[in-house]
Amino acid sequence: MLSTPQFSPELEEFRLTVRQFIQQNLPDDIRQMVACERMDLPREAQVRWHQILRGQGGWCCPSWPEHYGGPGWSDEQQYIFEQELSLNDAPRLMIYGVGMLGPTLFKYGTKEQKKRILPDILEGNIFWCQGFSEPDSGSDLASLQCRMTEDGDKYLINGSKIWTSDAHLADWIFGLFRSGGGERKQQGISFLMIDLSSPGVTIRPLKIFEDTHEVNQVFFDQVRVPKENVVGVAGQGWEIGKYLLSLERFGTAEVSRTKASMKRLTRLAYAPVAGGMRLIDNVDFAERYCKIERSLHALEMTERRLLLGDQRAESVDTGASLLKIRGTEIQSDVFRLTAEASAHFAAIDIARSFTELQADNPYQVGDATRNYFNYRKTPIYSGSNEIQRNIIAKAELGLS
Amino acid sequence: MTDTSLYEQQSLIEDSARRFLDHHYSFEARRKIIHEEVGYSTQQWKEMAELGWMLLPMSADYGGLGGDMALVSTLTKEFGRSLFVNPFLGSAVVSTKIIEESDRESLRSEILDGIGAGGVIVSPALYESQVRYDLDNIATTASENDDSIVLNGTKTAALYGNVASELLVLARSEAEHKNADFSLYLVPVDQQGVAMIHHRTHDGGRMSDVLLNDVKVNRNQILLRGQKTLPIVKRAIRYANASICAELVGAMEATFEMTLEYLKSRQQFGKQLSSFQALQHRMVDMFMRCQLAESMRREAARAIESANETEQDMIISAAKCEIARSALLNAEEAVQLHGAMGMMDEMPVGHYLKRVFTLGLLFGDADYHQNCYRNMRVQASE
Ligand SMILES: Cc1cc2nc3c(=O)[nH]c(=O)nc-3n(C[C@H](O)[C@H](O)[C@H](O)COP(=O)(O)OP(=O)(O)OC[C@H]3O[C@@H](n4cnc5c(N)ncnc54)[C@H](O)[C@@H]3O)c2cc1C
Repeated sequence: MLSTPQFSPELEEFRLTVRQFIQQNLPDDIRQMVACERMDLPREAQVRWHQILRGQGGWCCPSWPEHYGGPGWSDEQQYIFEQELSLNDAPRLMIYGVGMLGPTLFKYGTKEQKKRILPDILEGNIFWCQGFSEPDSGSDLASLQCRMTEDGDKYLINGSKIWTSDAHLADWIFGLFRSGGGERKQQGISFLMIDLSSPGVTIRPLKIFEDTHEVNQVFFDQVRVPKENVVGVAGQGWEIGKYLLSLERFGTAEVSRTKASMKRLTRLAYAPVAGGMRLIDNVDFAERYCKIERSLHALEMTERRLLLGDQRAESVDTGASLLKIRGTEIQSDVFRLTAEASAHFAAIDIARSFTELQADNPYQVGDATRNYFNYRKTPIYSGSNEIQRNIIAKAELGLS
Repeated sequence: MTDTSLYEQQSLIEDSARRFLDHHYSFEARRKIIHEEVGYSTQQWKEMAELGWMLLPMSADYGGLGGDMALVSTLTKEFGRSLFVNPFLGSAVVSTKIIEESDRESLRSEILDGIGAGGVIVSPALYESQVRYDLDNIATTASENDDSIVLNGTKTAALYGNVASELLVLARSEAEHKNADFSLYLVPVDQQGVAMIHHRTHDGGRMSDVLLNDVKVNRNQILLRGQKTLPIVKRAIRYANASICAELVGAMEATFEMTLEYLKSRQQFGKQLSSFQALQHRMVDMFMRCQLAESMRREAARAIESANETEQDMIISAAKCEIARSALLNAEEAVQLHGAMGMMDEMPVGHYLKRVFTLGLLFGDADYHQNCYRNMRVQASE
């Protein structure tokens, strides 16, 4: 792997501290799941790791300031921390509560909301999921129709949200709901938080074609929600939702995760093969491998430039779009090549075949083919790559 | 020039296959079938034999229908359209083409009759994982004693080994490892020393690893031996690849059609998705890849029937490499353009991705064929 420029000695020291902590404290069963590229970790495993990080002075919430219980890190520290998590096979952070709702409440929440909600995220007591998409409103999010009407001191919610990741693990959902109309469809949308144990909520599991359960449809039938669960002003939630999604878009470039996947592929490529050729000695494989490595390096340096470097020159908004597009494209390339690297073995549906085989899976990357199939989702979600291109065309290039 | 009688035969096969599959193998029916123990419907397998499909790849000399690839690939293209998974490729195509070349007359006709009638399934056990697709360097050995031959080695990707009664085992003589002396054996699955691990494949198919531990075979089980062995096996593999190309093209066409349909029916931003020019261009690219793939499918069929060996080899490698890559790319695009719906198990589109990925791996993946093509090109004269 190509090396990248060092940070300051203090920051590199910080990196070593973080690395050592992760290596010494990450439970092996969790590390294994992540090393197999699984995103669908059981709640129990996520909470266990979250609490280990919590004990380190709020490392579980790396972007949170100290007065909310976070470590109060600089951008560079957060960046390095995230990289070390990835490169040492630690789980992704609990994105919906920690990465999205928390920082959104810092900006838009009332005192009461911050006091009521943030501690449970910090402690890992409450699991959140994100309800934006609806059956008829995907890319065109602002057309959403899940209704929110006033009913005394409560709101009544009717309709459904779809593709809700982790709703089956979550306690609460936040999202955007239609509370009124206006000239523009972005008007009359409210940002609301709903307890999933409320009467009238049902959750239907949806299966992904490679067999995992990650997403759901959440139905709301006359669900009553206290008014204090609106974030910001009712009817003006669009701006809040946009802000929250911009937080996600940086994460979904997954550059450091892809670096970790590339490290796994590298191990495979250089592994000796008894009676055969190493993968890297195969010209066609090597060419594809090198191309990915070059692109990934360019992407990593772009990420550093946009996230940490001179931000005055570039629009951060479209920078996130760029990173998301190229990040997920390169991620797909890594997963495709990792799957194809194992020739006939890649055809085997390990989970549905004999379990003994899992033990001596020669590639130690779990079921690489399943991962390849599963990660087809990344160019679709968090604003599809097509929509991200529209954003760059419009906001960066002024084309419309 | 189109040969009208060939054209008519193709239409007949296409019609009967499409009718059969529409009737018996809807996406819903398929979901149940692939999760059953053996992975396909034995009842349907019988009906396929009654329709004469098993005889299509087989030479007329042995009771088959001649093995014209233009016809076989018409059939397998329909299989591809419907995501039809079954032992046809392994048994009726590869094993048939290898067994046909054996000079052991009685054994040959007995097995070919069985395959043709659908009652016998023979699984080719050729590949080994450490050498990927490179048959020249397999490690399974056949060591000859006075009255018997002993096989040792581990085979992979034996298609539908779970339902085969016999395996075709490719081995090399232990003595001369360099100047290879290959041979091919008919080995009943219950022969002492044979163990199998059966797997499900991502597309709902089945394949097995075969462990051969001091398997004693007798001379009657030798189907091929000597210099001609490997060329015969490779010819059968070319034939199989021409058939796979057609399956891939069938799958590409179906994926293209369902994606086009989807974009026309789904609305976002108050318009049909199909009205966005960015997506129109993506569909046009998919369409063009389908067209070129269809031409290469026909070209592969033509090469099987007419070209000389070297040219055949190059065309098949070119076709497999190009079609496998295009099919995978189109399937990825199809999923992408369906949005989150494309990730759903209940939608066919993701299952096409699984199918073309898996099919692409069999009998040499795109990288392997690219490499073969390059080697042949370098060796050829200007
Ligand atoms: C695994 C997974 C997890 C998800 N998790 C969540 C979640 O937790 N919460 C949540 O709210 N949502 C979630 N989503 C939904 C995701 O945000 C949507 O799938 C995404 O916004 C696209 O919407 P859609 O699926 O309706 O596709 P559509 O909007 O129907 O789009 C279909 C295709 O058309 C393209 N397209 C649409 N409009 C245009 C245009 N104007 N120009 C060019 N191309 C266009 C799209 O890019 C796509 O390729 C998840 C999705 C997946 C796959």
